Amino acid sequence: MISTRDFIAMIGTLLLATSLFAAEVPNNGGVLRLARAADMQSMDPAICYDMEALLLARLVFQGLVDFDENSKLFPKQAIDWNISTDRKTYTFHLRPGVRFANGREVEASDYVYSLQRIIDPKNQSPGESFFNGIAGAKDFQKGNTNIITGLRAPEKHTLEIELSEPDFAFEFKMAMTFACAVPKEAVEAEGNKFWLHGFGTGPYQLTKWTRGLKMQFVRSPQVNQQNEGYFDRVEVMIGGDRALHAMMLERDELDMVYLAQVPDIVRLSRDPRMKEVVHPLDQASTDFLYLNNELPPFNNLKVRQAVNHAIDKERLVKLTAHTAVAARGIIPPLMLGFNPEQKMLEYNPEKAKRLLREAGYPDGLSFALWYSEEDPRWGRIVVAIESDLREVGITAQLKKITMSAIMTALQTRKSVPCGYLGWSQDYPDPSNFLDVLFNGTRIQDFGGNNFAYYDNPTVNQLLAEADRISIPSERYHQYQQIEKIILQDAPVVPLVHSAVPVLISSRIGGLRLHPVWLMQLEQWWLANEPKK
Amino acid sequence: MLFRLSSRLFWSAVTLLGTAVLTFLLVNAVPGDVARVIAGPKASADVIKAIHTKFHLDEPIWKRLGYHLNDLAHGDLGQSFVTEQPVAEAILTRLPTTAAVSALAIVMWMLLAVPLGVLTAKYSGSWFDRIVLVLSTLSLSLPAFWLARMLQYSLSYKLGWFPVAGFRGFSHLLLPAATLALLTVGYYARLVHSNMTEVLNSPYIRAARAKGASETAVLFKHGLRNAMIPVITVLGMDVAGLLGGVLFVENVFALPGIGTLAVQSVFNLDVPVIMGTVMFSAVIVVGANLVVDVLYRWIDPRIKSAA
Repeated sequence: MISTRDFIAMIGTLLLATSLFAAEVPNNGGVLRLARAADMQSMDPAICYDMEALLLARLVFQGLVDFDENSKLFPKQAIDWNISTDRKTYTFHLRPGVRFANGREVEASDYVYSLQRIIDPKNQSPGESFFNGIAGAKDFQKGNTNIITGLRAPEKHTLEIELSEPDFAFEFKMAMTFACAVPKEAVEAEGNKFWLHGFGTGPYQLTKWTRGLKMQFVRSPQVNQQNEGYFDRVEVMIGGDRALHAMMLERDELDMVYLAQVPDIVRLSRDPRMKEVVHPLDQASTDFLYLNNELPPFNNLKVRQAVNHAIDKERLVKLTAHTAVAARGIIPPLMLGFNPEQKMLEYNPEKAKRLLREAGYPDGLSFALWYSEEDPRWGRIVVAIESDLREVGITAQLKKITMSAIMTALQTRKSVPCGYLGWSQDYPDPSNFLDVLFNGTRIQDFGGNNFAYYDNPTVNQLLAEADRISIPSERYHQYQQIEKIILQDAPVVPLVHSAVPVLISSRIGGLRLHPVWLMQLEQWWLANEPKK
Repeated sequence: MLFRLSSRLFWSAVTLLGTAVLTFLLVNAVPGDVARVIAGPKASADVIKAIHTKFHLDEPIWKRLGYHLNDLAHGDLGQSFVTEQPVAEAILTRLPTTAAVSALAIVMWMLLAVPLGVLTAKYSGSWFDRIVLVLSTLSLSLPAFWLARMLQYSLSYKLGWFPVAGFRGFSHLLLPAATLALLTVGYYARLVHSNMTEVLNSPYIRAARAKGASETAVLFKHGLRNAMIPVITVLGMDVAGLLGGVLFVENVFALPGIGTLAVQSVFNLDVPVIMGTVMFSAVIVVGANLVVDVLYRWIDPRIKSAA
């Protein structure tokens, strides 16, 4: 016999469960209101590369595979894919019935066309280097042939991609926005400006874009995924800074603020009515102090180690309002292959002083530290670094410049002794950090990403070997060994792994954190009216 | 007269040429690589090189200045490095917003300044006159960005009376226009006041009073009409000067006008747009000065003979 009390408890539980369930049922309709501080250069998936731009590009363009919430690949607009035993040929089977917003069904030849656009030098795609390992790509780029032999569409729904060398990370690259399908007819009709009112296989299409003023997306007549495209419209205001956007969000004039500033995060987190809008979105990234290994004083190992020992990473975290964690290595915690046991050079000012004496700098030394405030937290962090270094007798002269200027400076050989910059993953494989940033064979006089100009033949050899290992556990183990050697050589100071602080209005539903895309706006819906 | 006009035109052209050269040199002295802004931080060296070639960025500065002046002479402001939109189109798209907020501001400050000026002239030396004098001085001394932020914070963010920022309709123009109006109303109130004081002491005003005209008719029909002539002239010149204040106010309220375009282009190192907005402002200022100058000589023969 059930007691009255148990009965009431049972009903209560049922009601609670129902209300929770109801809260998770997506609504259709409404307008998603976003803002950007400045206009985007392009919406072309061949061009878009920074995360804030990709959030919008992915409303419109989608591809064959995607990362799930554990960074694992899953077939999105494909049924499945398989890899040949020599790991050189990838065969993707397209899901029939996936359509562009204009109603035409997507075929394998659309992917041949879209990938060829990335490789074609005349399109200047920043994604070109990810796909130039496809067989015949180099010949095509040189103009020797007008087709890429490794890109084939043997059947309407079958795409074959042949590589010249095995590349473990290639399937990850197919999930990058570069590899999304673009409608050939629109590109050919309108040239490389088709994206001004672009459409793809994503749940929205861009219907209006007044450059520098506003963008408007509307739901596509062809929503190819079940859990996407709930809003009638997405409107993007262009202009205003992030502090202004935070005020607008509080007054219910906006739904999301990307990369909110530390004072806003602190203020809103303390406000009981507003604290739920603050979302520090974890991402696989590491902020580094790059020490130029080719220039004095950092061509001396002991000086590099001294700088590593001198900086208190835990203190930096407080300055970011805890939107970052102290670095635990080069490979960030969210990256596959992260080693929680990895040993860093610990904070020890006394040891730093001793190393400086041994290196021949008993009276300390001085160098210029270049940084930008592209991320407002960076300005706070460098001030703390400067003060830590002063404690051990090192004078860091802070030199603040723009993001574009610091990139050019760091990519110009022998020009910057020390620079501050963050690096976040393009795809979830440790090679995206270790091979890109620390491979000595990739050092160039201009334009390379080995910003520390670190060249250790052992590391270069191990990186080349790792590239050929296809069993994930063995591959990750190899990268962890490489990371260990690099940390001892101290070409950089890994400082923090930072989250992207985002403010999201409480009227938004469908929020799911994503390790690669951070947020998937295409899956959001209007959950409720904001609390006043 | 014809000689004077051609001389004015010649010096206006020299001013514009000087502005073009100086702006170009200043913008090119800023460190940073626009190719990096365009292609993003992870772009390869080849992509950066291709952009340099496309926009002649590898060529010496005097050569690029030559290209630029040649384009300007043909009325071509070029196209944005970042958006590839023609600069003239970018300016024209934003002109209506800037014009609307400026026009609204002028209406607001004139509606306030004229009654204040008339009443303070009428009650000259009274406590009311003194309070208005203090407030006018205050209005003239406030920095535009500070007042804009304060009004935005208190009236929009705290009280919710106006939208905080952006542009979705007329209500978004009210506070920016009010800010501009508050910054200028003091000056015009004093201008109307001093002209009105002078006019009210004229013999024809005494004559009007002696004829038995009502005080309202004396003030507004006989007094204000004459006192307003110099005010209108200054207003004509100020339309060009407004662009300076609009720049700050538009940016604080994220209004999509020419001011925000100018500031965005500076952050993006978007040289053609920086040059375009500066040249646009220069043309407006030089043009307005020229028109006022010519009109003034035409209206007031005394200036002609003095010159």
